[in-house]
Amino acid sequence: MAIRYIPGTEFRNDGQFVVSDATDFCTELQGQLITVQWDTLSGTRSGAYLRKTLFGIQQNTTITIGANVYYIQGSIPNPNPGAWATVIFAGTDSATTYINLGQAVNSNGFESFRCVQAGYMTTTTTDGGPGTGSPSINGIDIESISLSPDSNGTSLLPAADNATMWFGYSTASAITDAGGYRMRSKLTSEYQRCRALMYVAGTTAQVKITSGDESYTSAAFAPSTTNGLIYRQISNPYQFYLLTPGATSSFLFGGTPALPDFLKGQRITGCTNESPIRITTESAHGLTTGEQVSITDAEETYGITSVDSAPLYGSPLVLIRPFRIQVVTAGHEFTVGQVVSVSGVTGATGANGDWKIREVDATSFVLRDAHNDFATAPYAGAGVVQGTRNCTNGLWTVTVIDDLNFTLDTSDGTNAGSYVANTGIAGKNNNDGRRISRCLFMTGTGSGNSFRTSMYHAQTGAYALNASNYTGGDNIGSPRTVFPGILGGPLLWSDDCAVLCEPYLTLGINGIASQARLIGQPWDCALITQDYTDESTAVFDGYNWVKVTGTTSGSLQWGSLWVAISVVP
Amino acid sequence: MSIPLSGINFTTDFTFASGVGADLITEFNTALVAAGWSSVAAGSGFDLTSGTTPQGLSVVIEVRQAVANTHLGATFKDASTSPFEFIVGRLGDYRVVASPFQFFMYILGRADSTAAGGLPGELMGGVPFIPSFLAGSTSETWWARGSGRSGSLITNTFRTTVVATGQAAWCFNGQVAEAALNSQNPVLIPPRSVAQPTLTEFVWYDGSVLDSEALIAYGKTSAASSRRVPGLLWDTVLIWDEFTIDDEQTFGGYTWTNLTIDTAIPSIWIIKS
Repeated sequence: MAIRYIPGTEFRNDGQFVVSDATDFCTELQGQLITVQWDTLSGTRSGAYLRKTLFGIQQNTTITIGANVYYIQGSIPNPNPGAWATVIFAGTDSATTYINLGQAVNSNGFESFRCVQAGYMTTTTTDGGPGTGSPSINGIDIESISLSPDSNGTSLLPAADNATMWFGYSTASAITDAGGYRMRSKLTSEYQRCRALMYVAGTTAQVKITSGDESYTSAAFAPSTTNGLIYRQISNPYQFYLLTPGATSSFLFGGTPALPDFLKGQRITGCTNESPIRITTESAHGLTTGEQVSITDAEETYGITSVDSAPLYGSPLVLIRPFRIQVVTAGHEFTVGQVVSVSGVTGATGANGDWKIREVDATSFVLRDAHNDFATAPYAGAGVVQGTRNCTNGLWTVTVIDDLNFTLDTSDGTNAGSYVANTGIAGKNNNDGRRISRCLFMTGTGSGNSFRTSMYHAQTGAYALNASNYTGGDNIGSPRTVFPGILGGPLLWSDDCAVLCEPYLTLGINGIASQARLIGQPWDCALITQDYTDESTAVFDGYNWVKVTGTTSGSLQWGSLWVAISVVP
Repeated sequence: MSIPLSGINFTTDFTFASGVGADLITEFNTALVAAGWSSVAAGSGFDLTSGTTPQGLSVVIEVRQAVANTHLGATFKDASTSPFEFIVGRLGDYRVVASPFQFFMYILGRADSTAAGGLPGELMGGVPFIPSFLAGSTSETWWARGSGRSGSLITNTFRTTVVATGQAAWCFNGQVAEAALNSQNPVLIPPRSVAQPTLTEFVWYDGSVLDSEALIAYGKTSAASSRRVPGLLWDTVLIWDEFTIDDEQTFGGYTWTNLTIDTAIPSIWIIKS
């Protein structure tokens, strides 16, 4: 093994930025990642964060049940993922007004919503839940019933403006889009990629890492955004370091690591529309009939044949008119709630971007959150849509056809597409032959060491390894490094220069409490078995380097992590 | 870094049953000569000179009868001379795995230790591979480790563990040093992780084991001085798993044998042929 550098054609970025608040932090970090070729899947600059709204009813709407009339006063933005959207209203009936309105909502055709709670709210309750104090406001909580639970949080209510009331929902695992960016790393030579999500929750910046298809989303890391705080970020197309010079707080290190060839997943180059599905691999798959394979992050791509947009509601009273953007293809296998990426559409360019979808049929789907801000012109042509190959991902028993082809027993495919996927293979000779189809991780400042404070391990971390995902604190399976060394001090050559090596990364294979295994190594990363001053620089192996482990003491002084920041001219 | 290969590997198996030191000396001499060492008869035995490494280093072993002619006695030297003589005299089925620059001699199926007692049956040593960036600052270096010397307890060697604590001698640029008991000098550098909680083994995701070069380290001027790494053992790899003693595996185009005992982690593998 050797230090794994990003390919020579890729970019590195070593820069600083000063934050003023959480919004600024997100914007700056997004900008830094853009410079190293991360894709922006959604989000715009400060002040215009993508706000994914659904559809709603207006203020002043009245609902009548029998003799009772309910007058909608406004809605409450929900800062807490996991709570329901809340509607405030006044009624003419008795103290049971909230129950009555809830029944009204459930019986009067508010599209796709139902009331899940109803009660009084106190004036100090802002989390969307019915209050228990002195009754002063009637409120009901509403959830969507037609859309599958959302993993990227599409529906926090915008600030109540008393003009239009928006209904939405969120789940405990949701990422809010109260403001945020969704960034996608480049694909590594081992077919790995991840996404970084950054957004503002209240006044706090939150950063999460997700798998390429967002089927795994980590817990949020909350770097400091104190006004005037300086960050140094060192990034490349696959990972990023974020540190505060002179301090070990507010550190983030995440991305998808470099994998050795023998763990590299097999790339799927084709997939038939048969039952069972027939998979073609780029190189000999080495499987035998009866073995199991796991496929993760397989993607499919379809050409777009048309984009139609029309108001979601016909009522002229709607001040902000939600549009319903429908994408038509020759055929696809996307499902409701799935994230897809639309690109290349001309004319109705607002259709381009990253969307959850709804109202799916065999040839079309609706971009769930699109509204009139985006539908600025008729569709002029072109475009593709890419998303997860749902019918292929999963755990399958294979039947081998030949060296490059096998079928997934019990599978059922209907359409061909373009695929990027990897397999895990069981039962091979001296080892179990498993390969890595998905690997990503992030560590940061938390309740214990991060790689900013220890070259050994990160006690606060999150990672995904194949189909398993973990977030948690310090344990044997949390991210660690392995390197040559012995207890008792630095490891030096006979000329007193420190031994330099590649740091292997270990992760628990079945959870953070499980036995860790070696999975690869961070890109552009070296471990030197001696400590140096924080942010020391050095030149070796043809690269300029900076030390990212901060000021240490005790046994932590026996080594330090370094990152390559540029090629020596 | 990668595993330095000497290019010549020769393994000799023989039985030492006579209890006559001269017989053991003859077998040992034959094994090393077959691997490329030069031999000159001297005293009650031979002076064996290793091949000269690409970095221009070599070592000489004075092999003589010892302990009333019942043992092989070995004194290592180049410009500098080992302060004591290792002895080998245990009866048994021996194996010598040698290259032009280093050798390992031991009894098949067992390892010496203080607890095991008896007569010593292990001896190993040679000149390490010196990386190019150290070649200019290294004029002389060699290492030796054995399980016995006259008047001393039987100790362990690399036959038992990478951090053997038994008797050893080494030299760096004219500074000869020795270690008796309870000194981890020389040691081979294993992979490591954070101390707590301990990773009991380093295994790749697919279940294959981690292997690494065998960096050797010893006190630069004495057993008490800070250890430094002068180089790497030739034809040697550390594998982070336990294997049956003397197990053989073929990988990388060579046949390797497990030097270490069943419970050793990491195990030390040397090229047999």
